[in-house]
Amino acid sequence: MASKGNLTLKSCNGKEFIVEEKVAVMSTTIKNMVDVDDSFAQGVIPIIGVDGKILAKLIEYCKEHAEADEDEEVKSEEYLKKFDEKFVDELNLNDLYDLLKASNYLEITKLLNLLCQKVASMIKGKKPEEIRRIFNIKNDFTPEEEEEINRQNPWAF
Amino acid sequence: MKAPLLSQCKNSKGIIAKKRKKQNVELHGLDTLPDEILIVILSCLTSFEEAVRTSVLSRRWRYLWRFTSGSIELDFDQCIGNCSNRNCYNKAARFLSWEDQVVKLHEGPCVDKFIVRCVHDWSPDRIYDLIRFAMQKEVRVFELNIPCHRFPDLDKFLSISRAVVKPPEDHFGGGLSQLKSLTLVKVNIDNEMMDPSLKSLIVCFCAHLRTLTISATNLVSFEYGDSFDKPISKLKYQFQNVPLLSELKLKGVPCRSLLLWPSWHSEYSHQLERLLLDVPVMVVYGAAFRSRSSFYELPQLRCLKQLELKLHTSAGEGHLFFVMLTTACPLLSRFVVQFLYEKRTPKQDRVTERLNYKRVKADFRAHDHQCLKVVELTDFACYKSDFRFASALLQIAKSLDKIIISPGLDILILREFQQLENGPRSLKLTYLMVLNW
Repeated sequence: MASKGNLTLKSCNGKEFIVEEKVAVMSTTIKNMVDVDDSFAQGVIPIIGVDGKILAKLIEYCKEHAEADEDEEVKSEEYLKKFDEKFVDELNLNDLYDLLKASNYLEITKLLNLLCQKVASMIKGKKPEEIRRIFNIKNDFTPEEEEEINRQNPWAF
Repeated sequence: MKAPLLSQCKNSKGIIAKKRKKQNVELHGLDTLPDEILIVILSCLTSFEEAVRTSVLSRRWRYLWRFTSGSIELDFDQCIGNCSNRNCYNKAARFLSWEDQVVKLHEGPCVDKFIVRCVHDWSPDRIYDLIRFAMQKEVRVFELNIPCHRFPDLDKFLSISRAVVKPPEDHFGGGLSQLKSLTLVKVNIDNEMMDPSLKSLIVCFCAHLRTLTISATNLVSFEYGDSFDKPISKLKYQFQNVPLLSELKLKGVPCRSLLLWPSWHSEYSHQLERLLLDVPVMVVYGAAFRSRSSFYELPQLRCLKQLELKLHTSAGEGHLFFVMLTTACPLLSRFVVQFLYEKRTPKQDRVTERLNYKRVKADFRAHDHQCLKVVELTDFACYKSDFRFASALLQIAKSLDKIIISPGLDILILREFQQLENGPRSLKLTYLMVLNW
């Protein structure tokens, strides 16, 4: 049972995490749940489709940012920037996808943007074949179609 | 025919295993993410070109770029690149049809930046489409860099701007209510525009612009640039109701009026905190003839904290006018001057310099600037006039903490520097920094 001011989050594989409310409400989805229904604040909030490993990551991120929001002096902008950099650098691709889905579902906008920036930076400057290979995208165009698209694209002259 | 079959049989286990593995991996591709996330990713790509390039990845990606909310940049030059003459016509046509497509096919609700640059004249209808697009998508940064000789009917334009105030009747969606920055380059408008939430406005090289009335309660920064060689700027800009305006940047001829006829600008000049002037040769020359008595008897720029000047000038020209300018700004704390010498003429004083120096010399001692802390002189060419400029500043500004001199390409005359260092010792000058030694 969580003490007052704390919430219990439960991952889809049954792991429970007790977190401070200010950390949990970084997620708009959770914030709305707590705001609307008091019973969530007392009991356990199930986080559907997010496993323990990913949920732990999410909480790690939210904790840093919630604390930074509260006290700018201890955790400066620069510190946060470094934390963010390290956070995304340590992720493997599968975790990245899972985190993207989770942060989208839980509406943690800051994190979602951070992760999307990461993917964008990986796409940047790469040839289509490379992008397909890295992100496992199947090319379902016929060669004719591909040529047609290239012809329309003004940057593919 | 038989050989591949055989080898398949041999490796059948391996192939199946590989296939399974592949399927597992596939579960974890970027394609497992919903469209909305992919669109955010595309919007994070800083260049529109990169976003469009993803259309070739797969069927699913083909039209995703149309939803990007990042930046849409249509740059004719960049797109056409360094093509041979033979292909140019084709490519230009393709650019136009492409631009047309983007404006018609974009499906996302909003766009952060919308930039169109093109060297050719466009029809008013086309420009109108662009403006309408910018409004529908509630762009925050809008740059229109097209030499249009007939700007679309301003009544229409104005009706749109006004509609910002009463959105329900607005047939153009959000209007320009999200607009934070508007840049018009080489555009020919002949009247006015207003927007309540506009924060920064840049108007550059709009040679046919006659009057511009800016009424924007949130406007903080205004930049206006015009040609460097015309004698008089044709545009008359005036401000109405700009309580937050604190930054003004003028490039070229428009500097003349502000510097030489300050009283014409007294309505807003007192609220400026940052002033950046890119002063052309003829205005520098004109200013050199001004004696103190004819300008700035009152502290016209009484809130100014930062003054940055780029002086296009020739060797030996007198710049003391600009030293005296500091006396019109009692709160000025940072003064940056860049000398841009146009011709490398012999290092002799010009008539204006000698005249002016004699005339103004006595005034230096009379003035006492209390706030000026930092002076930065870049591209210091070590002409006598440059040293006079520096030493005049030292005399006026008793409060000076730091003077940073970064010399231009000319060879330095060490002796002169030592003089500067030894001379005004009595002043509270803590140190003299010479960069790029």
